[in-house]
Amino acid sequence: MSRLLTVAGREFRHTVLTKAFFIGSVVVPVVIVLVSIGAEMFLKPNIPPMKGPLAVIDGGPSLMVALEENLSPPSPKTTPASSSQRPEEALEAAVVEASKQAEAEKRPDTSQLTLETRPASELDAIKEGIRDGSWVGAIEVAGGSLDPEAPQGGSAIIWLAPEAATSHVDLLTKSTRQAVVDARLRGMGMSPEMIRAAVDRPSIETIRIGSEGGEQSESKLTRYLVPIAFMGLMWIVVVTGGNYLLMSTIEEKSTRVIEVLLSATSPTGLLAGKILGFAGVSVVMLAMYLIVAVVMMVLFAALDIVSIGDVVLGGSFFIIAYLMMAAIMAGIGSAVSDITEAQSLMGPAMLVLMLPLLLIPVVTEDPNGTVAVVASFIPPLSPYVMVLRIAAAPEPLPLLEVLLALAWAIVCAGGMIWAAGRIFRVGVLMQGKPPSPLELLRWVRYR
Amino acid sequence: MPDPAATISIQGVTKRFGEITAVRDLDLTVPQGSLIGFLGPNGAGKSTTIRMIMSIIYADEGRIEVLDRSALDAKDRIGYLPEERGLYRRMRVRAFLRYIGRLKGMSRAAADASAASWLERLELPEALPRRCEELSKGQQQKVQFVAAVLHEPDLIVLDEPFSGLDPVNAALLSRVIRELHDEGRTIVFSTHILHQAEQLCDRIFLIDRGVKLLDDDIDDIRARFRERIINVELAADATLPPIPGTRVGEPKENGDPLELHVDDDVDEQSVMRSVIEAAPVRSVSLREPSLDDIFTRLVTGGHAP
Repeated sequence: MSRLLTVAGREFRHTVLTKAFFIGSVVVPVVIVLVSIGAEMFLKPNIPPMKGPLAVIDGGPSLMVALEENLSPPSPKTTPASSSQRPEEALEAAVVEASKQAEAEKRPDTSQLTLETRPASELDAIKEGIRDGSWVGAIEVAGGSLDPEAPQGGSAIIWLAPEAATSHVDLLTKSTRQAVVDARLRGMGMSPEMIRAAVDRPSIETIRIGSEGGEQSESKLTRYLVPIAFMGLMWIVVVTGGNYLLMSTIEEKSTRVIEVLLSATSPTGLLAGKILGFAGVSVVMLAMYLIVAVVMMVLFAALDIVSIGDVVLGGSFFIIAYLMMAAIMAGIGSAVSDITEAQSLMGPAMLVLMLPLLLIPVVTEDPNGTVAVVASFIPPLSPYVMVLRIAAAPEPLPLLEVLLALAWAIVCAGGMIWAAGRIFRVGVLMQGKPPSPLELLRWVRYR
Repeated sequence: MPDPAATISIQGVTKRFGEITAVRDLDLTVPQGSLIGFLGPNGAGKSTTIRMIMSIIYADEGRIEVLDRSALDAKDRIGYLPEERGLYRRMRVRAFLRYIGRLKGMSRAAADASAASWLERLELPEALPRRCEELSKGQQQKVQFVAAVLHEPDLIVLDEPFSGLDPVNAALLSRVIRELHDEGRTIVFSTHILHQAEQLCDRIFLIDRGVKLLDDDIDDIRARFRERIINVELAADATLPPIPGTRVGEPKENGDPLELHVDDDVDEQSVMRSVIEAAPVRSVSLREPSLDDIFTRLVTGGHAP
């Protein structure tokens, strides 16, 4: 046991207490977060205001009114937070509000923009004016476009200076389209505001009626984003931890230090120590990401979107996923002599390990569907699929099914570790051509 | 039955790798306190035998006991320098030796103290704070040797300890091995350099194609392989008359001593006296077979001694 801890301790220290780990696992994520926040706060795009006259060629009164409405600065509007909102609703509302805010910030200031209607005969002169800056631009709506039966919705041309900002183009395009539609509606005797109010989509709350009579509300956030975030985080941490194990095994084998280690401990003890050491590394990585996640959830008062039971089950499946990954990486690392050889075996392994990511849409859509249930029992997919299902299922999964999947995953992880141990003790002393999959199977059977 | 005075007892051990039998039905006893050389050509089975002694690989058949127990249980009392040597490139020497010491059951402080003392003994104290990759190949080899003896083992197994060492460091290592032997430790080492084995060992184990050819004290081996040849260097222009009970060997090159092959039933000492009486000589000596001779005879000329 003390040898196992000694090996684990070395692997942990020599991975976590290195500049590479610190930079890769601490500095880079922190820098990414800081840069994102900093960019949001300080690197806002400098959107020039639209200042001066904008010509509307042959613009009739209804089009002019519609354009005025669409191009005038929006009045500030905030959605008050409801105290009755559930945590996930509050979080979702905050995300929507932030998105609207970001959209508004990208709109150029139009407070100094004036609209002037001009005859088509002045268009050439106006174009000259656009070039020399005396006109902001010109909008020419094709004749008949205000007719509700105009072919293909009508058309319009926007004339702008070569240096006109993209945001100006976007705003004029959007506003002209909307203005033409509004003018058409008015021409038909309808109020665009009323039409917009009529077609404004209502907010929908989905409440699933539980099989035992309970009711549970769900949001898009808990239905899709949380499961994907949980599984994605687990996948990244497990793959990274496994990769460290692979590299360490290859280093010990290629530098021939492995035989010195095997003179002091058994292959099984060495492998167990390595697996334990890199489990610690993975837990450190997971902890760092989780701290960020918990801080975000506390900030958005959304801490209770995850239950203690989910955390316990997620933790158990994380350990199992890591053990399965460790078995695969230890097997590959011990069978090859260098990283180039490892890549040839890593290809098929990574294909299998990518499968949980490919299953995300299927499992989140129907957490109790056949694909989800079957994949829950196929290693090494099972822990990822189970985490996805637990997080995405509108109702808790049947306890028996969860326990069965957990037990089966433990058995499979144990079997994979056992096979990896057999491969490890033969492979670490082998040099030369990497083995074929058949040879690997033979190694499992070696005494 | 294992010999109670034996440090290593191997009985009927066979090891196969697929179709290849690396070691076949091997019996070997290494007495406590001996310094034994494992000799044999490449692929003879030396390293396989050593790896089985170290429990790095396991025998398919037979039984191995080391220090009166299974080798796996005796790992803390065995020091091992493998043929395929290596260090963690980025690790500092102190950290590496501490790690090996801890794996061998030492405390951190004891491992540090022993590492410093051993590096001093091997004239390499400056290596302690350096990274392994910063050391020369010879220095790395010394660090690996320290890793093998750091924990003061009762049995030291050295697989090709002199390979890659310059003559000065090889002599230093020979001296240290002898000192360890004088302290009462049992030492097993394999080598291709036969004269080093001849100088260091008190016992030889010779293996070829997985089969044991020899396992005995070096003096007994020499006696057994004595060729009953007397080398005679005659004075200038002298000729040697026929000596009863001998025949003259085929002349080799000018200047080489004359070889007298002594018949089995004739005493070598009386023949040497007869030679001195029969002709003026510069020297008369009984030829001792070298390990080279014995090795070559056994490995290339059939296995029977």
